[in-house]
Amino acid sequence: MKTRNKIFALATGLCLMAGSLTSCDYLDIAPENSVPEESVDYTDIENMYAPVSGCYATIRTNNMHWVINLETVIRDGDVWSGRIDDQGDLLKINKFVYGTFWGIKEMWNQYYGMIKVANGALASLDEYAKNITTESDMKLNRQYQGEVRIIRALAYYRLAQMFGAVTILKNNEQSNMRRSSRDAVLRYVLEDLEYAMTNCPELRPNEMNHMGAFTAFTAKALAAKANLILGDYKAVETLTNDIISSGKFALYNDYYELFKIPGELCNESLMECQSTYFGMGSGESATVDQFFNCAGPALSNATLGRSFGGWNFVGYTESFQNWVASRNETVRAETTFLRGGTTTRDGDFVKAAGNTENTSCWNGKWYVPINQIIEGRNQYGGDNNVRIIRYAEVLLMNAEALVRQGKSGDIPFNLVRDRAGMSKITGVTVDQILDERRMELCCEWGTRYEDLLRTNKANILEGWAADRAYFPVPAEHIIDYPELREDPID
Amino acid sequence: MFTLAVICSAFGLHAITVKGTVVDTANEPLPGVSIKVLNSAIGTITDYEGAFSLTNVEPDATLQVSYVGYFTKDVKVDGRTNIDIILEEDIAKLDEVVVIGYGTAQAKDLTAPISVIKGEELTNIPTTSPMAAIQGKVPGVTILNSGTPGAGPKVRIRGTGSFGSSEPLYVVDGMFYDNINFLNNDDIQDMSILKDASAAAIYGVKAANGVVIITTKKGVHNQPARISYNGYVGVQSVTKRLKMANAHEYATMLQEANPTAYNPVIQGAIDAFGGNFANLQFGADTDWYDELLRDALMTNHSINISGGSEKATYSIGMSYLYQDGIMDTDNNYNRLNFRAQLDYDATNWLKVGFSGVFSQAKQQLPNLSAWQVAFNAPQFFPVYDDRRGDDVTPIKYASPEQVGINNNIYNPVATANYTNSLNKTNQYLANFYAQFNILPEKMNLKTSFGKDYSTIKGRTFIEPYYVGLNQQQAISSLTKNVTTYDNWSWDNVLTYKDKFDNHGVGAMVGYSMRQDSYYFLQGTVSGVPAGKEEYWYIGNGDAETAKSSDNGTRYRSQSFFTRLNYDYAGKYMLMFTFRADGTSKYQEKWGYFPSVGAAWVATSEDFMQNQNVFDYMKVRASWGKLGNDNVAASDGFASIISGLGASGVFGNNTYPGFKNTSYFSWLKWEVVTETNVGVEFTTLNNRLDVDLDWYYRQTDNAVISPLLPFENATLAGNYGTIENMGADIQATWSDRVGDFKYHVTANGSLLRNRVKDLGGKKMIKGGKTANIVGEKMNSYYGYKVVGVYQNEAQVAADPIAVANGLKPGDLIYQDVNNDGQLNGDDQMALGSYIPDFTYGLSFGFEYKNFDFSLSTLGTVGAELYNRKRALHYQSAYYNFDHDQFKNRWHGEGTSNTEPSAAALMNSYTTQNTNSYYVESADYFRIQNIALGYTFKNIKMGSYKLPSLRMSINADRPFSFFKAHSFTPELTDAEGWDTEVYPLASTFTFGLQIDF
Repeated sequence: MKTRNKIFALATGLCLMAGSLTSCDYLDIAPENSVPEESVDYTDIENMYAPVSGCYATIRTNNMHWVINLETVIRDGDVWSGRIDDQGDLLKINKFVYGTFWGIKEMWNQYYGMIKVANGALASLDEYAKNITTESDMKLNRQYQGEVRIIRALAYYRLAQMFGAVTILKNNEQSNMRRSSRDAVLRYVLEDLEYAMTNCPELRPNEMNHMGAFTAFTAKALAAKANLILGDYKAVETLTNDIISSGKFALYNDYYELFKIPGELCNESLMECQSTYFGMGSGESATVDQFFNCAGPALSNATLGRSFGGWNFVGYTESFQNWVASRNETVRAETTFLRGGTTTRDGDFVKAAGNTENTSCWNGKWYVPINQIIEGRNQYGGDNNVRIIRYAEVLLMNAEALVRQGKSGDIPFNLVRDRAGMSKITGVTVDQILDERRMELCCEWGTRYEDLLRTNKANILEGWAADRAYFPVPAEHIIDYPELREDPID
Repeated sequence: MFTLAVICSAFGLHAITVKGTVVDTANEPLPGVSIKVLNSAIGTITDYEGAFSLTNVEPDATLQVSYVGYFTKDVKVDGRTNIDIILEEDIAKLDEVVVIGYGTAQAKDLTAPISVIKGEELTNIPTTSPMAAIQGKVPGVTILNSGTPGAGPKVRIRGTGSFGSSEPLYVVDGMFYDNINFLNNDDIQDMSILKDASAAAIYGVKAANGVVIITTKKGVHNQPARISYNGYVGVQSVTKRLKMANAHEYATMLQEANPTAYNPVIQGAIDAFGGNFANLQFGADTDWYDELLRDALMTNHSINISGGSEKATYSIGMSYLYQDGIMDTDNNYNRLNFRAQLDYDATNWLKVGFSGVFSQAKQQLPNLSAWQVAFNAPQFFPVYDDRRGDDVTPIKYASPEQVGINNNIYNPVATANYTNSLNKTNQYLANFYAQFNILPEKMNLKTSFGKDYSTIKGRTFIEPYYVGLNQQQAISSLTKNVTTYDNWSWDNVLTYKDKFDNHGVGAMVGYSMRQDSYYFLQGTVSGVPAGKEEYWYIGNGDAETAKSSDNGTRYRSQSFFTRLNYDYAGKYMLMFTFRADGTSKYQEKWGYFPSVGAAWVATSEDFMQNQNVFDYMKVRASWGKLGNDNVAASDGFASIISGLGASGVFGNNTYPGFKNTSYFSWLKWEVVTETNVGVEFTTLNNRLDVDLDWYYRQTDNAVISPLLPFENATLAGNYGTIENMGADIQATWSDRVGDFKYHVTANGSLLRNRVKDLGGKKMIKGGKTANIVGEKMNSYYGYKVVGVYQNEAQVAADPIAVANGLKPGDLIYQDVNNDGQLNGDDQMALGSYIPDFTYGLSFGFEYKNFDFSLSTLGTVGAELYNRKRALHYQSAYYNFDHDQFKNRWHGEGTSNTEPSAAALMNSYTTQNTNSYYVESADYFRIQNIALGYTFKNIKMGSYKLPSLRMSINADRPFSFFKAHSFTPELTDAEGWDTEVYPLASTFTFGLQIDF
């Protein structure tokens, strides 16, 4: 019986031990390696730029997706995908047959990704604002909200440009995805930009504390672009005049280097997507991923003993090359065309396409000489920035707005021509301005196709029809949100 | 009885010595039979001639004679000193002791379908993981093997019931595991597979995908040391080879597709490596799969020593396994295991014990992408080219660039060789217990503490190399990581059983606490010098590029559980189990999992005594609820994203930013409810044994991740409902004709898998497949091919063909809504990798000293997605497999199912998911053939070697399937066939020696 007692004592002890450990606290532990959103310290005003920086990141990570690069430029008759043996759907999109190309959803999602991050950042900035005590911090808060709104406006502008009518996502929890008309979207863009014009400093991006951050002038330039589509030339004139009369901007002297490392954040730049290797030949990088690389031919430089290879996409059409030749362009022709079998002024040999049906004339604006890319890095385009809005475009918009309102656009117009080594034109006409835009801005951000659309000339394009002017809403989204089929609200 | 024995001894009756032999019904001696004197500690084991000897036995004692696979027999001594015993075979294994959750039961008392696999069935099957060895043996258990050296299989018990992980829970000596790849086949005493909810519910929130309980080898009381060696050595060779188009066939197709476009490359190949353009002959014609494949060695050796005294039992073992990969590069796996077990009866009320496994493995990983690269690479360039310049280092590999192809195509041999990835695993499993016998034979309390600690040290080094512009590494890169799992559990179980007349009762209550921790630390650096492995430390790289990251999880749980069972006269059985599981993983902490089961042994009824159709028949029914906590934990709050990807660049630096999109995740475990009805019987004079079960299991709260609105990102939620309904059957016939003893077994599983609900959505599309209400899980979703355009007139008449610029030879997709347009509305479910029926057949015999076995298995009704072919969208220069060449459309009437060469390169084919890429994954395989010969009682001088068996074994010697694959057995749950390491046929010579 003694043994029995011992066992019972032991068993009871075990049970007690178990019982004492069985408090609810045992299960109440915080998840590892996860920072709750609430723990962002919104009283730490020093850190208020963090959500804004997150929005700038989306320009790099979303807007610069390589397939968007292609989709943006290939519908204007001057540029094609450049390859018959890869991404064949792009050849059909050239003829305005969209099908179910994967890149359509990708483009849509990338821009809504930007918009959601911007919506979230505005909410975060509101949280910071609640803890702000000084007027100077409050002003900074409004400036930052302005920068975020410029980025959001860029995303909507791009959506309107590519898809026409799209959904305005007022907040990230919105469940009705019915679309708004293109013009309604552009008006929403202008609202955001209005706020930025009021609250962001009137500086050049390269004068900003956060080097290259967007300013009131960036907002004005983007607003001018939106108004150009809406046909409000008065507004275009006012906005571009503001930029020109500030005296802060000037065309960069060397059109070739303008697009390369030396031209980064020059005084011509109003909006630029920045990228960096942190000055190091290996290790982490914050670059535009495949944006340049997709459009790169094989390069080799015998002197440097280095060679690069891209994906060989994006080519200029024969007709465009001939048109440029007929204009006797020299400066812009050298920079624009990167031809197979030639050697660039930096000594890089451009390998011709093996497949003769593919292009052998690539986009030189996305070419970065090997000697400008730090040793150890082997990606075509390296850590070059991407120019999004240049002063040259502002001048040409100014000229067009003036001419369309019966005034002379010669002065701003000839500034652009002069830099390109082209003779002055007096009494410039709208058509001449459109041609100048076709040349100056070719293969950058889809201005040519947009010019054809807004001037009702798109029907010169093979396969074009009014109901195919824009990319279709991605089929997958229509399954989930049938309201996307409904007519857009104005 | 007990009192009688006490009285007898009290009166001083003389104890006697009992000797004898134990034989089976064919008079063959049975070695290893346990003979125990009831109500005493006296016992022994028969030797190799079936002989035994017991001393100090009371003349009126009873001997309990038991042996695995035979009915246990109680024999009264009645003063005899020489007793010969005959044991009858228990074909239905009714007397077998089955390990169930937190206890054991006799098979005849079970109310649930539990399959038991004995360690002997696994021995000498050439697999690295024990689970791989049971393929085809157990109905309802599907094993999907991988050819990668050291990789474990995917295991599915009764269908797929989760969009996430459907892997079962493994319980090894009480500890919970996700897999048992660290165990050697020879470490295992037995495996119990708990298939239904009533058996598995005792494991609560972890049991939804079924439970496999593994007991490592144990010793037996009163047994002298038994030393045995098992080993095999053999060669592995690919089961089936995929034939690709050769250079001539490939060039023919390019020319058919577009001569102007592709002639430059054809000419390029001839210029670079010789040949003749006119008749498309090529100087280089490299069969890349020939280059990548080889025959490879596999071997396993294990030694086990076990035994026991009256008070203690022990078992200790060691094994070594080595598997070389059949990819012709440095890839292999080796594992060294040590194992020990000790039980000791410290006093009459206390028993203590220990079991431990130490496993040390090294896995040199292959670069799986080489398999796909080899599929894609045309054959018209060689492996090496010594003429190339000095920039091509360190090996002079040829490059497709020499032919004029700059993108997407690589030298497959270089891809395979320029990688060096190694995992070293050390795993320790230790379990200590103490058992207090409160009421002898009736009530005990067992407390056990288990600990599992494992570290995986990974290292990937890529040396600088140059093959071509698109296949190069300028600066070396080194990645090192350490993964640590540190888990413990403490289980306390009080067990009570008793019998009152015809009423048998049993009760078990338990309490368990656990903690699972995982930690991962990784560092990367560039610029470490190549050369010796000893240089490969992060400090030797370029300091500015060094980066580190870490991650971890820690989850706790505590559980209360009970099992109550009752039986009446061995006729009616009832069982009830319940588990309350608390976990820190989710916001909702506690889950409750009940189950009930009942069984009726019809043959025990009086009215069945006069029939002779059924020797034994039991009808079972059960119901229960299970949980699956193998779904991601939810933070319970929205988290923000930071780091480089969320930071803008300003000048030459970034400003640390964050992205906050405010999505809130709130997950809980999935719940499976299962009903099982079964019948088992033996008939025809105990020669035919049949087990049949029908089940219906429904998973609620299934976690699925729909896309966030307009985003590529997804957010998981408990939205889904999945049903799996099926039947498992196993029938075994065994008989003997003279010395010829044989058995035939057939098993089959029917499965009907359906997505029942997706929280209101009709479909949720993932990256590879879609889940659609009313269809099988993970269905391919796209266009259905209904033919091939034969001529221009047919093309011109079809608005879809016109709109898409199609040509004769292109595929015709079904225009489901007949609106003359092809768009999202015309897409449909095109099949899934989940099979409808799996089956296995086996046959075996023993004749004199020979033994033979043959097993087969097959699956029906599964489809795979031939991603290898579909990847053609990436590059027009990709190669084709030989059947694509042979069967292609090349003129009106040549084919109405296979596209032309041009169509195979057209994005209309390659960029749309369509049924051309969906292929039947059905297969039939001769799984294993083994022939053995046993030498008994070999005399070696004065020493007698008890037994030596030699065997030859062919594992997976023949496979039959139609898919254009190396194997239709894929470890990708969604059935995408790409980068699949081919399975090997393994031919081994085996040796088993008992010393």
